[in-house]
Amino acid sequence: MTIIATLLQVIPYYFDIPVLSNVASTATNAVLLIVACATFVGVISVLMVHAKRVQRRTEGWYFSGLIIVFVVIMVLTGLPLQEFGLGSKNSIFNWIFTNIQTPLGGTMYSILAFFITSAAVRAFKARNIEAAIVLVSGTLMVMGNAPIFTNTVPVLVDISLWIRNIPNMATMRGVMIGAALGAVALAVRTLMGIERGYLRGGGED
Amino acid sequence: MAFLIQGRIFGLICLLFIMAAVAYYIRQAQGGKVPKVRRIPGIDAIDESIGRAVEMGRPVFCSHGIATLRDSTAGPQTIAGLSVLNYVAKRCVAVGAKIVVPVRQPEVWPIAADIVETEYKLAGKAEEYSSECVQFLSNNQFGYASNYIGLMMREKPGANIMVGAYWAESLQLAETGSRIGAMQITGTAQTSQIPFFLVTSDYCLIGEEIFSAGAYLTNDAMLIASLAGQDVGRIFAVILGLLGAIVFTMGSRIFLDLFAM
Amino acid sequence: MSIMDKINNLDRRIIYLLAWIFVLFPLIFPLGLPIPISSDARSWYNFVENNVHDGDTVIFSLMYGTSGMPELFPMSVATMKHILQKDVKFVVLGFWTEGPLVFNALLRQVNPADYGKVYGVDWINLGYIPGGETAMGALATSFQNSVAVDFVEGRPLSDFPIMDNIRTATDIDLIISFETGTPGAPEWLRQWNTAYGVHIIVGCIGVSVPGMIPYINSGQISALMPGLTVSAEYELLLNKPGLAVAGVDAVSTSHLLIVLLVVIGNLAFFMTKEEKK
Repeated sequence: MTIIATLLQVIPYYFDIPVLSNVASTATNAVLLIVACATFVGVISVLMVHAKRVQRRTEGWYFSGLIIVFVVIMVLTGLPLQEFGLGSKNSIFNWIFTNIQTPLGGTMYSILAFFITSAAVRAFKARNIEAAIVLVSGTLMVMGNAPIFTNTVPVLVDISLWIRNIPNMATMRGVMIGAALGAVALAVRTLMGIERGYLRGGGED
Repeated sequence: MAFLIQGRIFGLICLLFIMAAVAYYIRQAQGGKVPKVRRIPGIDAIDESIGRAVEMGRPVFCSHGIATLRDSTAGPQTIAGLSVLNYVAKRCVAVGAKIVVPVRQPEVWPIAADIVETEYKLAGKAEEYSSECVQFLSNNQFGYASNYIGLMMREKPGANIMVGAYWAESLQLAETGSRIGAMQITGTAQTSQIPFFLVTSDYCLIGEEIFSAGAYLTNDAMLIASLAGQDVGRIFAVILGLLGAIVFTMGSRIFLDLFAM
Repeated sequence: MSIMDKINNLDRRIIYLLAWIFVLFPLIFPLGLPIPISSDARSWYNFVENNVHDGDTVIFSLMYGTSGMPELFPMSVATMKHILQKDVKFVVLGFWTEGPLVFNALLRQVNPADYGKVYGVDWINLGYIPGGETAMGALATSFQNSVAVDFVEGRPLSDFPIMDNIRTATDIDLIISFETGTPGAPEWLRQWNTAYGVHIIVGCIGVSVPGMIPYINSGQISALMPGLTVSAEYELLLNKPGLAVAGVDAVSTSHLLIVLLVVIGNLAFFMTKEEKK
């Protein structure tokens, strides 16, 4: 089945066969429909897991209750029923999105600032030659991106641009091409039916 | 009548070339000549990390990324992550470690659950499987990340294995894992996240190493042989790149025209 | 434990506290540090100024959600202000679910009507188009087949005069894409630039910049806006200081903290190494 489904997508990509193109397009649309249904599976799973926690009164069960309340509110107010005042223009839906989800999303992203700082302090130590190179280049890049440094030492901009445009670009090209080739090889293995690790019970000891 | 679509002919030739190379090495492997694969320390350490978790009496967290299976660049990473999950689940069941699989994409959740449940069944321990070990956390990226972080802080896993496609949450998850003292094995082909994994985890698989993980872990002769075919494709790409650079520098567009064929 | 040992094993919470102080201080007490203009900002400004001509049709795509707003929203606002000064038609669309909501926030900062732009004639909002890269490819072949109605009024595209001359990718002169991940520039490049030769300029977060450089070098991406600092420089070039200029002091102080901690950390590392010897 995997081989057939893969060939169904690959062949129309290279060969202009209208019948196969239509079948592939229908298959793609069917996949999108299945994925859309899978969204409900996720919501149901969340409700089941957290309902069990509320029922068993496990540690932190009230947070699970909160999740259930918000899932229900957002699902109901977000239903695409404009004639009943529901949908993306519903005031409750928008209020929760603007005043709860948006700040929470921004907060989670902002946590990266703290994590990057602590990771940089831990990682940028000159334990050996390679680490020293990472330390020097990383520090120069950080300094080259901050006006507080580039005002006083303008050459930092040129140095950081050189690091970005020469060694970084070469490395990125290598990693990107390598990753693309790896993905192609994985796709070829899937196409040939020998990659079964993502299927149940695939592979042997 | 079928005819080739303009602009994709060279791509088809490359695909057929790689397939032929893979088929050749598989044929060789079936005849007993299995190519040797270089050690990838990160993949070798998976067993060590599971053993460590068992000794500490802590669970093993294994996630496969946050992408769907349908993305053209991230989908293969998710498949690679699921291959690693397959192996990790098998080992955890064998040694009696609790496995927790946080999932972001609802379409991947049934596949991950099926993989873990099947390993329990194959080991004759179907009754030990709990559906709560494969948890759909949230479809929202940072909803998933905050949930995962909370899980790690509460459960304190002995091992945190993250192989797949990750984005901004990669540093958050890996840093939290480092903070709680979990042994971390990570891997992604997302170029922007590789540096974060490198500095925060004990072992990091870079780029295409994650695509080899499934073959490496199963030690299946055909899959290992396919890695050799993949390397032939890589050599071909390097030769094309070098020749193309030289020829283009000399003022000829022959390679550009070839690629656009 | 000596002081150097303590510094070498500095508690993460102290680092987090210092980061919080160093970021918060300039936001409350602006330092007003001068901002030198970089080549990236000039390239972006020059491209929009000189390569976007009156009569062009531009796609303005917000490919990020609320989490990316702190870094990308300022450059989106500034760029919108820049292109509104020109006599161009623009189509707002995105392939991220939160893109339309971010655009609604942008409209509260910049109203096209203030620049004499009429909805449906000079610009249109097609909203979120589901399907990722597949949808991007489908859109390139036919706007009308990919999008049934517009996002604002829910009316068929044929009702709007602007769409009379926008049917496929060949009718688009430029894509301006602000993004934090996937789908993003690589997808635009594969489906629009490589296939149809449409120019693309990309504004992205700092983390994504190294991955964009190969595309800049090959000319596939015509200009790049890498992060908040360059956004501030762009705002100054436009003579419209805004959110980016307000936030760039915090970038400076947070970077200063990292450099200080790295230097002190390495000193402590080497001194404890010496002590152990």
